This record gives sequence, C-alpha cells and structure tokens, in this order.
Amino acid sequence: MSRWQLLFGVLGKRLLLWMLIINGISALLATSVQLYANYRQDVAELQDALSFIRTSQLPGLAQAAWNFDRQQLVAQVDGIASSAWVAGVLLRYGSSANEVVQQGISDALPLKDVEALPLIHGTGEHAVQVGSVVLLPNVQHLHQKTLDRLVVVFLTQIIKTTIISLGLLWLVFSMVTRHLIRMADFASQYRLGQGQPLLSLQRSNIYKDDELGRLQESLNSAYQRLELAHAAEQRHIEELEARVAQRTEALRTANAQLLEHAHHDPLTGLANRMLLDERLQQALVKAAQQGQELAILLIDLNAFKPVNDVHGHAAGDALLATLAQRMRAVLRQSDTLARIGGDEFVVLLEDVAAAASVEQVQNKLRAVLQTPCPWQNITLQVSGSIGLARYPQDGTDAQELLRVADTRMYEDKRSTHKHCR
Amino acid sequence: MGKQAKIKQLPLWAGLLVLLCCTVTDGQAQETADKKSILWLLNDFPPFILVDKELPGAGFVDAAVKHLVQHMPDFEHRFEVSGVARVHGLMARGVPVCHPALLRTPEREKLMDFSNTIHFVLTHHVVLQSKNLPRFQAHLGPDGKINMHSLLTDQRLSTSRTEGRSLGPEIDAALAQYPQQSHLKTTGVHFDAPFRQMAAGWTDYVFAYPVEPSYYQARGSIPTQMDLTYLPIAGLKDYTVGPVACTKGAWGKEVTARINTIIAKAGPRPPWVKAQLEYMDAASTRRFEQLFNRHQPFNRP
Repeated sequence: MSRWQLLFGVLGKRLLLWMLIINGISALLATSVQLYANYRQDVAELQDALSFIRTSQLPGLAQAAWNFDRQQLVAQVDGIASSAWVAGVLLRYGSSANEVVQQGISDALPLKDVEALPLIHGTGEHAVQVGSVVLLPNVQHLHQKTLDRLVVVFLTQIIKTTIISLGLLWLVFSMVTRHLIRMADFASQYRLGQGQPLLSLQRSNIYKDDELGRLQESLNSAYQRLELAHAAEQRHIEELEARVAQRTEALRTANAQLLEHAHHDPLTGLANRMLLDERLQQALVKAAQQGQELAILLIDLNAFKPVNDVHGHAAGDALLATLAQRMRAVLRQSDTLARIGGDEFVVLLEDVAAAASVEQVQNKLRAVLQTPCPWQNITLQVSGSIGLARYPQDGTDAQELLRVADTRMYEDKRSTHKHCR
Repeated sequence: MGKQAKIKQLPLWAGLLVLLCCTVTDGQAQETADKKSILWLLNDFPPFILVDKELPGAGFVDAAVKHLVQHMPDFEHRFEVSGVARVHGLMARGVPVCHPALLRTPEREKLMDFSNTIHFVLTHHVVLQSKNLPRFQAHLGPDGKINMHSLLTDQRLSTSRTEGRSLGPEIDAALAQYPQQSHLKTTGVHFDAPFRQMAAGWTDYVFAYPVEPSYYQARGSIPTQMDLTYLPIAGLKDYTVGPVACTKGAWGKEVTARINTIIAKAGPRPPWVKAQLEYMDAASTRRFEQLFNRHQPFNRP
C-alpha cells in the first residue's frame, strides 16, 4: 500500500472530512466578519469620496460654471466620473440650468432620489448659484467590490482550509496514524514463538512517554508476556513429550521382552517351539524357492532325569544352560537352536550343501553334549540322542520333517541304550 | 572584417554623422534666416477675433491680420490659439509673438511694441439688461453717461470681467481702485462669459464694446430676446483704437514698423473695416461712421 493510500485511508478520509467541515465553518465565519468589516470600510470610503468631491471638486465646478467654461466643466465632470465611487454625474448650469454636462447618466438610474448639490459662486450677498450637480454613488462598484472580495477571500479561505486540512492530516498521519498502522501490521503479522523483534516505531525517543509510546510499550509488554507464556508452554509440552517418549520406550522394551519371552526359552535363552515353527516355515519357503536343502536335528538328552532327581532342578537347569551354550557355540550364526521340551532341542540347519557337513555338525553336537559340566563341587555329564531329517529328502513340511527327526532320534536313543548295555 | 577593424572605424562613422547633422542644421538655420517668422497668438474675442478651425478666423481683426499676412510674404506666419495671460507670459519671456487686438496700457508698454491703429471701434460701454435700467439711474449724469466710480462703488450692482482682458486704461484704472470687491467679479478666459452671467442674472452689467453683445446674441450665446441697454461711460472717448502688439525688442520694432507700413498703404479706410461693419446693427453703424469720419483713425498713428 502506497504512502498516499495510507494517508487517505478510512481514518484519513474521515479526519479530512471533519477537518474540512470545521475549517470550512471557521473560514465561513472569518470570511463573513471580514467581508462585513470591509463592506463597512467601503461604505465609509464611498462616503469619504463623495464628501471629498463635495468639498474639493464643487468649488472648481462652480468656478467653471461661473466662467461658462464648458471644456473645463466637461473635464472636471469626467474627472469626477472617473472615480470608482461615482456612477454618474449630471451637471446643470447656465441662466436657466439649460446647459447640461453629464457622464455615466442613463435613464435607468434613479436620479429623482438623489439630491442635487448647488454650485455656488462667490460669497456673501453676491453669491450666486451657478448650477447644480447630481452625484450618483456607484453602489454597483460597492457591490462588485464586495463580490470580488468575496470571491478572493472565499478562494483564499478554500485554499487555506485545504492546505491546513491536508497539513493537519499529514501531521496526524505522521504523528499517529502511520504508527497505528504499524501497530496493526505488527499485531496482524505476529506469530507466537517466531522470535519477532519488539514493536518499534519510527519516532524519536523523546516521545516515548506520550500515548503512542505507552501503547507501544503496552503492546511490547503484552508481546513479551505472551512469548514468556508460550515458552513456558513449550517447555511443558517438551517435558510431556519426553515423558511420553520415555513411557513409549518402556512399553516398547516391555513388548520386546514379552516378545522375547514368547519366542525364547527363559532358561537357556534359546528359541522356543513357537519361534522354531516360524523359522522352520520361513526356511522351508525359502528353500523351496531357492532350491536349497535344509536339515533338522532333534536332540534329546540322555540321563538327564537322574541329574534332576539326584542333584536337584538347579543342577539340571545349570546343565541345560551350559549345554545350550556349548551347542550354540558350534553352530553357525544363521542356524537355529531351539529348546522344545524339558531336555529336547532342535537344530535347524539352513542351506546345507552336503550330507557330510550335517554329519560334522552332528558329531560336534554329540561331543559337546558328552562333555562333563562342572556344577558347584560336582561334575555333571549327560549325552544326547540326535535324530536327523533332511529336506526335501525326508519331507517337505515341518510336521513331516519333525516326525522323521523324532523317529530317528528315538532310533538313535535306542541304539545308544543298546550299545551302553 | 574583424570585430577590431569595425571598432576602429566607429570614430569615422561618428564623425560623418556629426558632419551630416551640422550640415542639415545649417541648412535649416539658413532657411530660417532667409525667412523670418511671426507667431500670431489669437484668443477667442468675438467679433474681433474668431477662433475657428482655420486661423485666422472670420473676425474683423482677423480680416486685418489676413491683410497683413497677405502683404508680408517674406515672413512665415504661424497661428496659435492662446489666452491673453499666456500672451503676456510669452512676451515677458521675450518670445517673439504678436497679438492683433491688445489695447495699449501702461503695463503692456513694458512688454510690447505696438503698431499704429489697426482697428477702430466704438468705445466700451456699460451694458445691462434694459429692465434693470432703473437701478442704474442714480449713476447716470445729465448727459446720459454713467459715472464709472459711482457705479463701481455701488455694492448692489455687480459685474464681472474676463481675467487678463484690458477694458482700456480708464476702466482698468478705475477697477484697480476697488480690488477684492465681491460685487466686482472676474471670470475665466472666455470673453462671452460676462454676458452670459449677466443674462443669467448673476451680474447686473458688463463693460464691453457695443459690438460684442450683438454678436453673442446673433450666435445665441445670450438670449436674442434679451433687451440690452448700452450706457456710455463718462470720461471715456467715444471710440477706442487698437494696435498690433508684438514682443518688445528689435524684432518687435521691426515687425510693427513693417505693419505700420502696410496699414499706411491700406489707406484711410482699410478693407477690413467693411468686415467690421458686418457685425454691427444699423444704429451702431451710423454711430461708427460718424466717429470714423470725424476721427479718421487710420490717417494717424
């Protein structure tokens, strides 16, 4: 918005209108008084002019009429008629006032209402009236002068009024309105927490204590309080968000733990039956898609029950945990070791290329299972029976493969028992 | 040509210009020297001098002037309308001018050289409206002539005369004895004004040549039906003679001498007398002829 548009904004127009009205009334009053005074002065001037003619010109006219000097009379009448205050002169002279010199006289002029001034020549008993003169005051000139003055004064007052009004408008705009607009812009553009600078007005500091300064200070104070409140609110929100995040993390951890508990054996940390089933299903899908082979080793500990019975469940649990660690140690990271029963474990070997490698894994497992485990002051020792099932040779689904592995594990167990006996 | 060369030639051109001016001036001066001029000053003094579109006009003194002009071809004659006061002023300053109808008075003798008589008229009378004659009876002598001093001291009877006009030595002297009298008024330069004032009833009488009122009545300046009485003045000659007056000095003497020669050659009854008679009524003509024949004014200085 340009400066002019700002200047003649809604408030500016209203202000200008009122200033014009007030100044106009003032000018009208001043003009009336001045015109009346001037009119009175003009009337006085008219009277002075006529009086001057009576006292100064009439003797000359009387002398010229006495001399029958028509040329002189004409010149003098012309001179009198040339006065702006005289509309016309009618001079009669001669023995029977039959000689007439006139200037500016027309039938339209009201001669009968105007007094004829006698022209007296001489003094004393020999004074004679040599003629008479009628002076018509130029009332038209008086009116025209008043009218001209009215026009001039009126135009002057209009110009003065306009200049004063525009000046006042500019002054008010400079002193007040533009600052109000600045404040309005500041308020409308204000955004919480944007770190906007304080409202500053383009005015000298010496005016800081006036109404605008106080308004500016109030706005800035309100702005600062709002900013402080906003900052406090932000801090509160951040605290709440932190607490929510903390709670969310705790929940996530709890969920992870729940998930862990749902898929792992709490004693050994190995995968439980549920996780094994999931991985086995995934492995089967993958093997089928990629044409790979996989193997399942079902392990059941031998002579574990006596450990529990003789040394207690603590010993049994320690043994299970130790064995789980040992088995885990000989397996690949990608292999899955799961505890699916009290002393039953399953190993899922994915992407096995040759039977020899499965055999090697079986042997390693047998070895670690037979390795004695020290527990407190005693040594615990068990062995393991292992049943192998291979995909796709022994089955294509999990159930089938586990059944085959279970069968072969029992075959191995029976073989081991028979061999031990 | 360079600017400096032009500047150098300036004195040459200036010199030529001055020489040319001097030559022209000398020529004019030579012409003036060859042909002297007379500036005739004429005031409206009917019927002696009539100021008209052409000067000199149709007055009987104008006729005399025309005669003089005709017989003075070696002079350049110029004419201007001028009041008597201006004539006096110019002559006092030595400006060479002439006036054809100024009476000889002691004051004028100091300023003017006068020619011999160029006009002869019935002398000044007291002119009044006949109806007022009874008011003048107290000032009339047994011979019907009026006592001028008695008249002038009568405050009830007023008169006026044109400023600067001489009414002859006797009347001038009498009036000079009563200055600042409200009943002895003066008027402006117009010679007809006193008659019109009397006609208006503002004054009671006028000192005038008898030939004047009849002229104004004929012209309508004063009512023709106004009956006038002409009272001769005791102590005045029956006639008045008037000369041509020129500025006093060698020039004036030369001109008046030349005029005297022409008047003398015009004979005892110069041709302009005929023009004078045209302005006179029968009674005045008779009286004029009587006096003219008796005094033969043009046969003597």
